[in-house]
Amino acid sequence: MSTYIIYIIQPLFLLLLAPLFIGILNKTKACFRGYTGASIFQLYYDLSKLIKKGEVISASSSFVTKIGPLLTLVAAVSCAFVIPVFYTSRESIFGNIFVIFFTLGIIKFVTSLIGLDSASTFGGMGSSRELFISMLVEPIMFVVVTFLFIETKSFNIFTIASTNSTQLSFGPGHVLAALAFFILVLAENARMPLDNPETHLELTMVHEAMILDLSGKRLAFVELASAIKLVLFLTILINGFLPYGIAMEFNLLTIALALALYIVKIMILLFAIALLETTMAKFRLFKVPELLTFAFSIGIVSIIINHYM
Amino acid sequence: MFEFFYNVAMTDWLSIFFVILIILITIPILIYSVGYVKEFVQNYSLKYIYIMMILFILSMIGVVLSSNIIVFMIFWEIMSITSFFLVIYEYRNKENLDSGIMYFVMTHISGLVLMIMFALIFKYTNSFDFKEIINYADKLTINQKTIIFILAIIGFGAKAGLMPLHAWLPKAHPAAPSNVSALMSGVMLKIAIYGFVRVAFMFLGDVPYSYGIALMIIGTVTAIICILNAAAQRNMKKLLAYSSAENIGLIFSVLGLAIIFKSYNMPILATLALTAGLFHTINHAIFKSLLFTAAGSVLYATGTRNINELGGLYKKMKFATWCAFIGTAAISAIPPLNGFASEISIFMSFIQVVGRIDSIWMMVIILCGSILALTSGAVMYAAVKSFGITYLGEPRSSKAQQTHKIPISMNIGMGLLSVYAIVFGVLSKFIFEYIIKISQSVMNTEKISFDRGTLQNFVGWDIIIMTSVIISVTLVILLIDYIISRNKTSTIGNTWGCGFNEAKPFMQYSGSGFTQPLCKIAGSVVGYKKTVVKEGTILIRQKVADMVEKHFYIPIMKFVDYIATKIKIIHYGKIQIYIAYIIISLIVAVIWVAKFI
Repeated sequence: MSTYIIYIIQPLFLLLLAPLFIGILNKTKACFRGYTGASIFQLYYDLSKLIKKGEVISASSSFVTKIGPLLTLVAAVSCAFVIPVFYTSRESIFGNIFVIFFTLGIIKFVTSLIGLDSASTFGGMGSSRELFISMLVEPIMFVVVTFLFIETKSFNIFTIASTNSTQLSFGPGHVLAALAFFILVLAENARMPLDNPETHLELTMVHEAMILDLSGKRLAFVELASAIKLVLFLTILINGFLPYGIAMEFNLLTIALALALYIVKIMILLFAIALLETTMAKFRLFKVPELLTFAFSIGIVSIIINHYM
Repeated sequence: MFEFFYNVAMTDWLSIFFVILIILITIPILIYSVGYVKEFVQNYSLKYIYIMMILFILSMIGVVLSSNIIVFMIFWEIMSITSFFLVIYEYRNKENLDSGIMYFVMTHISGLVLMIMFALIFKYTNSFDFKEIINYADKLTINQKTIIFILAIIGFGAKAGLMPLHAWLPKAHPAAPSNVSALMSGVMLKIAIYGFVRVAFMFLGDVPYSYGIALMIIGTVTAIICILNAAAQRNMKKLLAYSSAENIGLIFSVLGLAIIFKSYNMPILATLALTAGLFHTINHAIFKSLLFTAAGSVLYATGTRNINELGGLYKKMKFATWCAFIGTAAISAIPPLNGFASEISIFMSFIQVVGRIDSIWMMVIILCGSILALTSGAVMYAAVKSFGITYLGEPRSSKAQQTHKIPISMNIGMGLLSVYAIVFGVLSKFIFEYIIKISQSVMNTEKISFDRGTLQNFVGWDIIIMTSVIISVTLVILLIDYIISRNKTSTIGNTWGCGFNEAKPFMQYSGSGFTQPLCKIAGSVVGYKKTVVKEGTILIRQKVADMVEKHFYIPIMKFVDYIATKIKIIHYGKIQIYIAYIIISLIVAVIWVAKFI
């Protein structure tokens, strides 16, 4: 029974803390740039403000704008329920990694339709770019899953996490595959070298352009969904490639330890993202394929290394 | 009567599966047609289209059920001819006739190659009967198998749309009425897959793995090139036609994978790969006929296929938009719909090769798998383009503003197909397990038991659990949404133009602009050309062309034309000479046939 409770607690933990992690990321970036920055709870304030407000819906919009934001949030929240955060079991009847990735794909599908829905020029531009980038991301996803399958002989994220957490040593391929996956995370979540999450400037925006015409609670839904999505991807990265210390049995001490380790790991990743975002400029759209091809290549190399060693 | 049928017809699992597929898809399309043909009532004969459609459907069932080479070829030819007459149904339009003739030629190349293939099969096995041929499979020599395999790829591939014989698809589908396109793309292409599975897996028995690798590479190349072309199109039906060729490529590549597994003596994985292929076959049949019928309703309502002229159709046809939305989501592999279910099983089949076969071929297969993953990304790009530009936003031209109302029967047909798309996705576990039985009978692996782990990796409770999680999360969020949105104002206003108040519909992204980044990097594959004209106003003209057509078909056509002008010399117009020609060719043919037998 207690194991069932943990399957409820860990997604709720992830969902509740996701905005906080984004806040920490933004705060770190502010520190690097040398200004005070907003509070780490800023996203909670923003979301509650948005929810309290009324909304304006474009006269051109259709059911996509009505249900789309809800769908994105549903996809993000549902995925949180089928991945391990700080507790994993050796076998699980859910948690197929492809199902998770494709469910997260709902978010980009729906947001790109939202972009086209309001008949605004910006929306179409954002959708076009988003789909262009996500198309090139797909092969990276494939090679990374292939790599994890080579290591663990499983497609199940729970099994992957538990197998990898007991593995004593990893080959050099592991690092390369993790790097490829990290670039995938940046691309899927509209982070820095591919998209600038901070600006609303025509030239730089991809994700922001699509949701330009949302307001009120629908904007809050999409913002929350993208915050959860980033944390989900980071959690998959952690539990796929760096699951040391993840709890596999249900007792308070291991869980507490696993939780602490999880938070440390995610802090490190957020730190890395913040470092990237403050030191790099955004790529031109047509340089993005080069970066993603690079990620794909190191993914392939990691498979080769792992296969021959 | 029934016994007679049982003895004459092919009644193994594979045939039954395809009969089910045909019936499943044709019922909604026939319902749809009742409304759709009203469009033609003034200009063309309705009796003609109904009779042809029924003949077409019956001939497809005939092909699938025939247990004899001769009967198979007769039904195959009836299928080709009736579909040709359906393609040129709107014969008053000259362009349709041209496309129809292209289709006619291609389908007869397919028929000719198949006749040669079956003749050789008869020569090798001395039997017309499918069941006897299947039993004879092990006695074929390797050379005989090679010839039959190559002819099968060309013959069935030309019908299904494998590279480089796919060129008829983007021509015939826009020419044909939409219900016919739906039938052709949804069902007829699948008959070619049936034929291929029948010949390559059952008649030939075990074949070397290199055949599988060749087939997989052909399939992958077809998939990627066709989807890039699809994304570049602005004609809605051309886009769908290319996407059909892409899915055929996907199916053939996973069939190739099944052959590889089989020859490496891994019957379980081979069975699962074949199952994934067959599952995708039926799923593609569902969502592609749904999308073609939806495109047909747009055509019915607005009279144009050019998505750059459309937009904002949601307000005119709400139900059709919902169906198109489901179809778009299904083809983009959005869970829990059917396209997603088969797509992930195909991906998982590809990944299963690691560590199991020679490393060089393993890398080739992984690369093919990655290209197919890229394809699936491009599918979403093309599908969102075709749906988003057509149905969302504001109308881009007057055609999209003055729409006709859609008859109810069209909505029923599309609704039924949408229900299939959902059911085949959510309940994919059970359907997959049913199809495993079919693949087992094809592969002769009924006796091998499947261990739970392998099957779990493929098709566990995942999708059902995910669906129930999604549904319960939706309910919870809807409840929260209901609570927080009490006393909240929701006003309707204009789209925010960033301070610019004169936003016009033509300022929206156009279909061509939407996929411009892709066209730019795909460049020569889609024959992308951009010219900027400065005459008073600045105009941008974008052009795409099928490179295969340009570099493969046109030279052949020129060559044939050249030969024809040379041969013209022997035409004197005297009947005696022609009779002499006939006698000479008859003698040559007799000698040839005598030698052949």
